[in-house]
Amino acid sequence: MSGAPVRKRTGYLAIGGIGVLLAAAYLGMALQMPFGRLSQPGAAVFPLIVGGLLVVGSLATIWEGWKTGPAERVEFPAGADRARLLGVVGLLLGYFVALPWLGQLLSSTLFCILLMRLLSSLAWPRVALYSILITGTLYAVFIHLLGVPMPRGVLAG
Amino acid sequence: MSTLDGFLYGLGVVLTYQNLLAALAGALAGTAIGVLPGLGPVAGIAILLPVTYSLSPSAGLIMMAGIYYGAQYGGSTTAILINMPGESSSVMTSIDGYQLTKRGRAGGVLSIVAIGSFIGGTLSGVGVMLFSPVLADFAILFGPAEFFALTAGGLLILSRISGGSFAAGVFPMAIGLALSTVGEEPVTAQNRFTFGVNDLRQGVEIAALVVGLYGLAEIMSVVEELRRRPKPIGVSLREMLPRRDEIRRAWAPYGRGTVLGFIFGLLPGPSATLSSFASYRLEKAVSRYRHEIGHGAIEGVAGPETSNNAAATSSMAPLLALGIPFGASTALMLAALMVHGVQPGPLLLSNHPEVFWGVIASLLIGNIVLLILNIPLIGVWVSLLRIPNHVFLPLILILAAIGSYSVRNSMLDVYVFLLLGCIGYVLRKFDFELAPMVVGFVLGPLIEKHMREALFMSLGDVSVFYSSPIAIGIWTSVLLIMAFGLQRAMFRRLLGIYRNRTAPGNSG
Repeated sequence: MSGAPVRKRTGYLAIGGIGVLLAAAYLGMALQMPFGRLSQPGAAVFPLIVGGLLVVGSLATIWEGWKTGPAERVEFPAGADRARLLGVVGLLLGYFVALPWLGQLLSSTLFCILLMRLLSSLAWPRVALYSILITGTLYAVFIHLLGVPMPRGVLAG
Repeated sequence: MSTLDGFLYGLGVVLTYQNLLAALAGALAGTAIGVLPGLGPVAGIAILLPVTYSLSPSAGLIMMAGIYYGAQYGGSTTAILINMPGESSSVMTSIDGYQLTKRGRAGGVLSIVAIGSFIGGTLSGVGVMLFSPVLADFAILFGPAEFFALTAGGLLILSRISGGSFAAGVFPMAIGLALSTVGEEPVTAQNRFTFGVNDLRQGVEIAALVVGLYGLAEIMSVVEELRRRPKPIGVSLREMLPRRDEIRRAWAPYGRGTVLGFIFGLLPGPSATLSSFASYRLEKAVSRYRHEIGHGAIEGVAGPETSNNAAATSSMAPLLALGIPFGASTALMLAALMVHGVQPGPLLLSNHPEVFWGVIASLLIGNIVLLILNIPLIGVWVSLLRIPNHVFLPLILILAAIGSYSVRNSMLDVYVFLLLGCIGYVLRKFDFELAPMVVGFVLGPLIEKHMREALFMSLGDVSVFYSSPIAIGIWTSVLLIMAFGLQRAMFRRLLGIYRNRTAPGNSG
């Protein structure tokens, strides 16, 4: 696999930076909550401690990133591998958007068909057959047999 | 109730239709999860979490425990047959296991492993049975300040010894704690960090969080490379018979692995994985056949596989007796119990003896079930390995979506699953540890509760946190471990081998 190397230092600095921003926003919101008294601590006390820990963790991440040598790299996928990975994430997002509208059975079948095509070179009829079998089985076991509540979408009428 | 009475009572609880079925389903699902790549015990338990909500607390916990130690059994099958450990705790098994497979000894080795897992799991179960009530009796002395020390201190230790650097443990732990504060605050019903979203008032759903972090992130790694898995060789039942010399050489590693695994399971950290590494090193140091280890020695599989099952089993002791999870899998079990309104801890033994003794008895029954499942049904597990990725991955992803949605019927949870999957993928790429995030998320509300109770009961005197001998003892231990990094130093040595063998995965 030919990957796309990313400097570990860059990754750590970015993650730590995002952490600091998150911690600042989190602490800002926590400060608006009631403090209470030491004998009756309010809703703000624990989040303030956690916010402090988040600052420590984020600064430690930045520090470790700063200390990391420029040669250290982390391999992320490139080319077809990256396209396939992004395709899966995109299909999942589409599946979740469609789920309330089309319902569990239809949206899952469509998701399964498209994902199988993305991951294999099988012909459409075989992909459709496998998808119907997979989603049909899952529907029968979880929704029909175990009564797990899932969106029914247009099929519910 | 004496230990024997308790055990007999537990057997009565387990030997009911529902609980036996739960043990069997858990063992089956756990073995399948262990065999298949892309899902570990943590994600597996999380996906099936909604199913356990519909069971009684004891049946739910029995099923989850079955998944956990079933995955330890199953993980070794791929490690031995195709040199691909299904679980991080089976990494060491693949070294000698695969060498033995290449010599035509796959069947015998699988049997040696199944017997070792049975021995480790069963003896460790007996240890849990004897040790947990003693621990629970001692923990009766604990007040809120001591429990605060235990939960907060345990979490800090976990974040430092999970592997990786200081930031790799503390940053995810802080994120997990922060996520645990989202929702309605339990004392004053104040909404925290909900942004006016109604679904967030109940907080972030643990199933979505864990399935995303462990399940989706792992699946993304599989999709990224999508290599063709090597075809496993077929193993017939007749080939499963180990040779006499293999059995003879396995006894000592079984014994050493059991003791080592039992001790590791009682400590914070990924105990099953750590114990298997420690056992491998121990065998290399003390075994009469140490020169063969690494080139296909039975000691190299018997020791680690016995110890990882012993550790998975004994990690139930801190959960049952103290209500403290020392790993992501047991954290999920704690969360499931709390959903049922059962508060794990020292009072579990007196308030819910059916859960306490039922789970302990199920550890022994479950191991018998697993032995029966693993030796005669080996052909079935091998055939699971032949399922192609393009069939297996959509199935798991749809299952994960069902698992995330169905707990609260909330689409928000499904999006949380996707978001945390992506975050987990990136964090894993940069070697951040995910277990502290899950344990922090589960322990966060407990830490806050104990902290507030301690302050309330002491009328705001902060010295309550360090005034009792028990609290002082706990904090001193935490400081010693944090400062001198005893476990961490050991972990690093072990991790050195681990990193060379595989990418970080699902360590429970």
